Amino acid sequence: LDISLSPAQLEFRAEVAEFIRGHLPSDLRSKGQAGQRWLREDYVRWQRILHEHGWGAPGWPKEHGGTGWDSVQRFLFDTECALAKAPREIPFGLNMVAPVIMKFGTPEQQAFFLPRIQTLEHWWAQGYSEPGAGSDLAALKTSAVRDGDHYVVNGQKVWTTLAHFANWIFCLVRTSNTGKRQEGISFLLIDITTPGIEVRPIHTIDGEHELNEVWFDNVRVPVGNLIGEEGKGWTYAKYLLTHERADIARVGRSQAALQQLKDVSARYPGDDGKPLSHDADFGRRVGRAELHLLALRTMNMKLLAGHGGDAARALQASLVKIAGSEVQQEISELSVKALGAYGMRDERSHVEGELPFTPLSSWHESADDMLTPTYFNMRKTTIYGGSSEVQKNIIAQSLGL
Amino acid sequence: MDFDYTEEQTALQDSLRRFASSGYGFTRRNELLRKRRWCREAWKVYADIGLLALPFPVEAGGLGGSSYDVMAAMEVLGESLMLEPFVPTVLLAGTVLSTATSQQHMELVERIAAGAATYALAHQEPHRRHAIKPVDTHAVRVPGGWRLDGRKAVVLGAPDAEGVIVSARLSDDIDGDVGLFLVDRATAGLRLHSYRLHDGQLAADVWLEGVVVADSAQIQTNAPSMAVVQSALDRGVVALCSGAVGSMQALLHQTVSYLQQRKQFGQPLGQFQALRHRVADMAVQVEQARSMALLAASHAGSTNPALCTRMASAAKALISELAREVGQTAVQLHGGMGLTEELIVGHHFRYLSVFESMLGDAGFHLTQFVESPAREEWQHAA
Repeated sequence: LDISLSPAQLEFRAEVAEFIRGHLPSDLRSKGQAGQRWLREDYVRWQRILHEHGWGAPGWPKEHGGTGWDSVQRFLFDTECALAKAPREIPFGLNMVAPVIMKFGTPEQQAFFLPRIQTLEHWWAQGYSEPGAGSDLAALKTSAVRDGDHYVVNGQKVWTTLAHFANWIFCLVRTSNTGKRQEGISFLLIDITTPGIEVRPIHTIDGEHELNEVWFDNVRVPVGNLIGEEGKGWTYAKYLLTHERADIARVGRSQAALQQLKDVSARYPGDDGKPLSHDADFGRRVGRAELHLLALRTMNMKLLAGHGGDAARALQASLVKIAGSEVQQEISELSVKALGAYGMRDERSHVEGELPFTPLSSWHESADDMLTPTYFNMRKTTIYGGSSEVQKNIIAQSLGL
Repeated sequence: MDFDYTEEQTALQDSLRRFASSGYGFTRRNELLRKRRWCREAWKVYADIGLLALPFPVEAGGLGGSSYDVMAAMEVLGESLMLEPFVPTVLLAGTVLSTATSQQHMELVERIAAGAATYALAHQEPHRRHAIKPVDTHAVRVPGGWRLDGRKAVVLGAPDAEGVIVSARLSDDIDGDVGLFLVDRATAGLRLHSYRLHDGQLAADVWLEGVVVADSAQIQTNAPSMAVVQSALDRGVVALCSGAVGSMQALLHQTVSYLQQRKQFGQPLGQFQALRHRVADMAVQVEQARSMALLAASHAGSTNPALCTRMASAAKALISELAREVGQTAVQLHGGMGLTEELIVGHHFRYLSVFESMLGDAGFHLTQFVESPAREEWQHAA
C-alpha cells in the first residue's frame, strides 16, 4: 500500500509539463488563459502538434500508433494539459470509437480510420441518445434497413456534442425489432457529409452552441461501415463505455478551475473592500471544495490503479463519476459567487454602437466573464455519461440491493 | 502506486478481526460499557500481536510501522468499536514519549509496547475550544523542580493512565515557551474527574492544584514542545480518521443487510428507489472518507511537519462531516430500530458522533487547513 507517485511518474509529469511549455503556441495559450471559445482549427492545430511528437493518441497501445501509456501516465498527461489550459482532447474519436474499431473492426476499417483519428482529419461525433432514448438507451429507434450493399438510415440523434465540427459520426441504430431490444441494435460508422444528414444546433443555457441534433433522412451507408456483426451493437457500446470513462473524474479540469477560483477571490473585493479571499466564510467554502477535490483525486487514482476485480472497478467508476461531477459543479458555483453582482453580467450581450464594456477595474480579467456561462454549462456533468441517479441505481445494485 | 494492503497489513487485520469476533462480541462490549471499563484481555492481545509497538521507531523499542500499518489496524478497531485507549496511549502520549531525549521517558515507550502501562496526553483546556496551546496551565520554578497549576479538558484515556503528560506554559507570556511534564497518577494535587464519552471510551478533566514535580518530570524532546504536541495530534487525528472509516464501512454494510431483510408494503426495503439512492450516497461518502484517510496517511511520514498537519486537518475536516452524514443516514434507514441500543448501528452512530468532536471538529480543522501555507507535492505550479 503506497498511494504516492513513483519517481518515474514524477519524472514523466515533468517531461509532459516541459513539452507543453515549449510547444503550446502562445496564441492558444493566451486564448486558454482568457477562457475564450475554441474554434475547430484550434483543436486540430494542438492535436497535430501532439501527434507529431508521438503523443496524438495517449490512450492507445503502441501497435496502433499510440503512446502505450498506462492509465496513470494518461491521467498525468490530461492533468498537465488541463492546468496549461490547452485545448481539451476531443474524446469521441480517440477514446470512444477508436477502441471499438481496434477491438471489433476489420483490418481495412482499422487501416482507414485509426490514422485519421490521430490527426483529427476525421472528427467524430457520438450518435447515441435520441429524443425517446436518454438514460434508457436501448429504447432507441433510429433504423437502418439493409438495401443491397447499403443500409438506409432514418431517424434522429440528439445531444450530439460538437457534431457541427464533425465529419464522421458513429451511431447505434436499430436493425431489428424482434427479440430483446438490445439484440436489435447495430453499430454503424457514418460519413456525416452523406446526403440526407442534417445537423441542427441546440442552444444551451450557457448561451453557447456545443450540442446538436442530427437528423437522418434516407441516408445510404455502405455495409462495409458496419462494425462487427449486425445485432451486436449493444455489446460494442458497453465496451466503448468502459473507455468513455477514461477521464470521468475531470480532476485536472477541477484543479485548474479551483486555481482560477482562488485567483478570482484574491482579485475581487469583499464587503469590507479587502480581497474576498480574506473573507473567512468564503475562504472556508473554497476550502471545502478543495477537500472534495483532494478526496476525488485519490478516489480516481484508485480507479486508475485498477484496484480490485471488474465489479469493484465498475463500482468505483460510478462513485468517481458522482463525486467528480459534484466537485465540478461546486467549484463553478463558488466561482460565480466570487464575482459578486458582476456574476450576473453577460458580456456577450454588448450592443454595437453603445458604450463598450470596458474592463471594470484592475481586478477584472476577461476570463472572469466565462465563469457564469461555465456554471450553467457544468450542470451537464451530473446528467451526461449516465446521470447521477442512474449511477446511484448501479451502485445500489452492486452493493447487493 | 498500490492501493492494496500488504500481506502483513492483512494479517494484522485478520488477527484483530479474529479477536473481535471471538472475544469481543456485542454482549461482551455491552458488559464493558455497563462497568465503565475497557478490556484488559484485549490490551494483552494488542501487545502480543505487536499493535502497541507498531508505530514506534525500532531504536525506541517499536516495530517501525508506517502510517499505513496504523491505518490498517485502526480500520478494524473502528469497525469493531473497540473501547481500549489505543489512540490516547500509543499515538498521543506515545508519540511524545518516543521523541523524548530524557532516558527515563524514552524507556516508557517499551512499557507501552509491552502493554504494561497506559498514558494520556493532556493538551486541551476548558477555556479554549480546540486550540492546543496551553493558556491556563502553567509551570513555576520551585527548588529542584516545578509547580504546576491549571485545568485540562477531556483528556482521552486519562482515567486508567499511569501518568499524564501535561503541557504548561513556562512564563507569564502566553506566547512564550511551553514545557511538557509527565505527572505520575499518584502525585499530590492532581485530581481527575473521570467520565465515559458517549461511545463508551474513557476520559477525564484533569485539575492540577499546586502539583510539585521534580526536574526529571520535564520531558526533554528533540523538537520544541508545541511541535511535538502538534505531531502527536496529527498522528492521532490520522489514526482516528481511519477508525471512523472502518466504522462508516461497517454501517454501510449493516444498512445494506437491513434493507435486504426488512420488508414493508410486501417487499424488501431495498426495492424502494428513495432508499437505494440514500445507500448509494453513503457509498460515495464512505469512499471519499477512505480516500481522504489514505491521503493523510500518505503524508504522515513526510519530513515537512506543516504538510503533515495540513493533510491531517484536511482529513479530519472532511471525514468529520462525512461521518455525521453516514451515521445519520444509517440510523434513518434503520427506522425506529436505529434508535435502540439493541442494534450495533446506534453504537456506531455514537462512536462517529464522538469522533466528530475528538481532537478538533470539522470547523477547527477546516480553518487549520485553509490557513496552512504548506502545499501538497502535486499542487505544483503548472
